[in-house]
Amino acid sequence: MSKKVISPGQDIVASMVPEFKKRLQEIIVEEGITELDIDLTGVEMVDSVGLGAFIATHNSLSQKNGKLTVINASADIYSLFKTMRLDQHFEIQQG
Amino acid sequence: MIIDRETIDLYIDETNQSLADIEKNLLILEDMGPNIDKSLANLIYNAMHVIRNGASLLSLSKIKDLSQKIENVLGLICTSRLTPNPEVVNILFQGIDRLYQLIEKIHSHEDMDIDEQLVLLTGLTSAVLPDDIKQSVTAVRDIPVPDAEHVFHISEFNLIQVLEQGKNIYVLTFDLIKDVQEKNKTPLNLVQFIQQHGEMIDSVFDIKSIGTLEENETSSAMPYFVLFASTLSYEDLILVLDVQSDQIKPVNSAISDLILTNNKTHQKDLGPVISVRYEDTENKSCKNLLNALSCELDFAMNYFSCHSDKVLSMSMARMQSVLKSLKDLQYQKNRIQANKLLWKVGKNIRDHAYQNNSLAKLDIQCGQIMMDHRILSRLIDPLTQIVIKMIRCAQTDIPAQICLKMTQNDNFIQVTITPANPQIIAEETYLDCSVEENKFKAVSAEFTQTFDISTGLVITIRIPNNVIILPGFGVAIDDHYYVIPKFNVTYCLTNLPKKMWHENNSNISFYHNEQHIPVVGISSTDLSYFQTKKSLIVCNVGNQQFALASDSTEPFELDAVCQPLSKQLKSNPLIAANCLLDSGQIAFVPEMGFLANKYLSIC
Repeated sequence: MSKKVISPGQDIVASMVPEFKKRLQEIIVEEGITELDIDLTGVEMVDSVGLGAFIATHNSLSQKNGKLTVINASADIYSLFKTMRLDQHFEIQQG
Repeated sequence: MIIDRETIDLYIDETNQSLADIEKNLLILEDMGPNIDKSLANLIYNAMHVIRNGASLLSLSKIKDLSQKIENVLGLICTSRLTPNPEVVNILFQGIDRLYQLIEKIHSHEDMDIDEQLVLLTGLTSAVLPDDIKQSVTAVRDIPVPDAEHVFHISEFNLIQVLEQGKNIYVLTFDLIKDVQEKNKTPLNLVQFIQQHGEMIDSVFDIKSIGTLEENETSSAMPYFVLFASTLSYEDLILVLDVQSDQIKPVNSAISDLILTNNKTHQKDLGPVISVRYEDTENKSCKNLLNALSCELDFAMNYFSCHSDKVLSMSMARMQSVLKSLKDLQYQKNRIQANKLLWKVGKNIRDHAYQNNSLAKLDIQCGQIMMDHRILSRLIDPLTQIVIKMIRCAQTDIPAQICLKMTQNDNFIQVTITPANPQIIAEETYLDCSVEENKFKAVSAEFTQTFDISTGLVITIRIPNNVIILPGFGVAIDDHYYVIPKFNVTYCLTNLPKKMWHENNSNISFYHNEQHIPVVGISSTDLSYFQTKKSLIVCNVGNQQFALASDSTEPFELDAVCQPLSKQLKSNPLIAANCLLDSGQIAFVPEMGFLANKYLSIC
């Protein structure tokens, strides 16, 4: 089982999601990573499309019996994920 | 950043304030026994609900969980299924104490343990419930999302609580792309907007429909379902949430049995036969007495003007008879079982021992003794301090055990405080209780301490049974304290600009609210004297309105225990009664009729 940390370093919003998803796909499909940490240091906002990227990543990893962890989430992103019960699907750690 | 440090700090400040209010109001509620003031109970419940909602929004999970449990217990109190007796309130206090600690360490609160409080609160909730509802605390109800595979799993008890608040339960369906992204909103905007109109019980994403990274480039839809409780109707909800009608589905069939039970319970609530009869009887009795008093006063007025002294004295006797009945009724209304308040001494001792990392035990014996709650509440602090002083004097390696025993006879109630083992206090040791003694004297109680070899140190407090308690406002006037009867006070003015004072033929008045209020002084009638005063207590006696000049900027509220007047004071027409303050200082009750007449004579 291989593990990797990815740090987008910018807000996860519609404009960057296609590129971000492409990178995630490379990591999971081509590099065979099954334990992925997305480090949200420097990320202040996640929009609906961004949320979709997290869920799609979780779904991809689940198919491979892998695991997604979101780390260093800001207070509002942590709150949002918890309120939307996304913590029931993948682990979220506050920064 | 929407949830930043400032938001958290604001939540901490508001929660601390709310918890303090909740504690204060819980004590008031506890004093009421089974006949609670429902509006006060709802106020407490709502305050805890706000704390819980805030914790939910900020994802403070342990604060949310604990406040939810406390809210459950408060919900039972609101619906009269649980009486806020000392045991119940004590457990609520334990939960609230823990909430304070969680708030204090909000950034590391997830590491703190709340199991003990959760167990106690859950036990309380389930213990008082009828068997058929008891299982709802642990039972989980499945609520399917219409036209989707998802199911919400919710505690039945939480659903019942929501229904009891008169809320309707709905499943809301949103598409985070169409309803949020395309409207230039963020998911956080959506969540906060929803929470403005009700309570998000639970929510779930249709994560399967979003697919995987490999399946699609960009999600075209992101279904998000919310189990939602709101007092709003279906139609109103469509309007305020600005959604299509098919996005809101009322939840009925999955909880139809709970809705039915709730309706029945509410029907029962409408007819608390015993309570209503009791209140009716009490109101009727008050009305009859007031009617009798008013009639007797009318007759007396007639006799004052045209009959002899003999008839007048007979009329006074009749008035006294009615007054006695009124006093008896009030006396009964203010009496509570002593143990309903005395347990707080035990709690204070427990808290003191906890804070000082020591062990001590207080054994309170007060049987079924009833006493005036206004007196009893003023005894809590000095009794606590005396027990603490006794514990500090104890020379023992084992936990000091102190006995507080209450007995009564026709004339007084006696409280005796002794160590369970007399030998733990050294011979001829007496406690310095001057501060506490003043507080006892203020309620006309007599304090003594004795020591002998067989019983050791014995503290005795005797509280007379029949005392006159006058609710009033304490103010300082000319280096003395006065208690102005509450029923005479209309309001207090503290902003006294010089230009508002008027003098006309030696009559002083103060202009306020487009009227000149005549001002009466205790020791002077000079304008310069009045202009040095800090406040005016505007009083009404009969149809006379006048203001009493005072040196206090803020009158303090107190239940004054009237003491017998000395011969010298009896001859002073200005003084109707006197009492002692907790500080030991004397306070006079002015004869308001005399002051009103003084104003009349000035006019």
